[in-house]
Amino acid sequence: MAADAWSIYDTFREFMGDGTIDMDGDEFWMVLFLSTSNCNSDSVGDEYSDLTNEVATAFGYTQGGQTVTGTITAANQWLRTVASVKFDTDDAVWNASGGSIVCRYAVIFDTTSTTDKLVCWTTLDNTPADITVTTGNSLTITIHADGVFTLTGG
Amino acid sequence: MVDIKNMSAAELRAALTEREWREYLGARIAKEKERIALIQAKIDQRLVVVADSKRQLAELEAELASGKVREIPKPKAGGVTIEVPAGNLNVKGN
Repeated sequence: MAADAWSIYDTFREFMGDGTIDMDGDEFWMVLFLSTSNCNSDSVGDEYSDLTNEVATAFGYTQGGQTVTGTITAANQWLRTVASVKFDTDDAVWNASGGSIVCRYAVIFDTTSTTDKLVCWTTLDNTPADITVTTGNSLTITIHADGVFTLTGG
Repeated sequence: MVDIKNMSAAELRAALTEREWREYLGARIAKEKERIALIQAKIDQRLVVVADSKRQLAELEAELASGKVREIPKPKAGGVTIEVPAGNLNVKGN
């Protein structure tokens, strides 16, 4: 099982530059979506409410997801090293209880911005296939050592 | 066409006819209502999360008070850990 790299939503590029999103000041959350969701398109829209078919609230998952910037420091959340800037977050962990958590995609969005602007999405198993975590087990989405994404070039 | 971008409210009121001013106010009110609705939806969503956390807290406190503390379930071998590779957002100079 391998996940695709995070894919950046089209509108994020605008919001990152015009101040709508504050990369080291805002709170970011991760949410899970079903295979029927429209979240797997960079041009789907610009905010969380544009996305369809989130995993339902049950079995250890609550719609709206969970914060992934609860413990990371602001300095590490948006970290420049020479000519590269890394956007990093905490890992996300859900514990399935009473049933299975089934999902296909993960999305990161900014909950501080007024309408929850979208950042990026990934296919968790790029077969593609659903991820099923049975009761008593945990789903851990680990952020790579290089962060969610890096900003490079020039 | 009146350029309203850099006008104060008083300047704008003076520049518009009564009808235009009413239309402007109507549009502003509709926009603010839409904004408030979005914020309210966001608050409602957070309230669900808070309620769920409070329920979990109450369950844990009740368990502790009962003196019958269950073993904390540990993830089994069936747990799933997925590392998502980093994406790239490039900047190109011209």
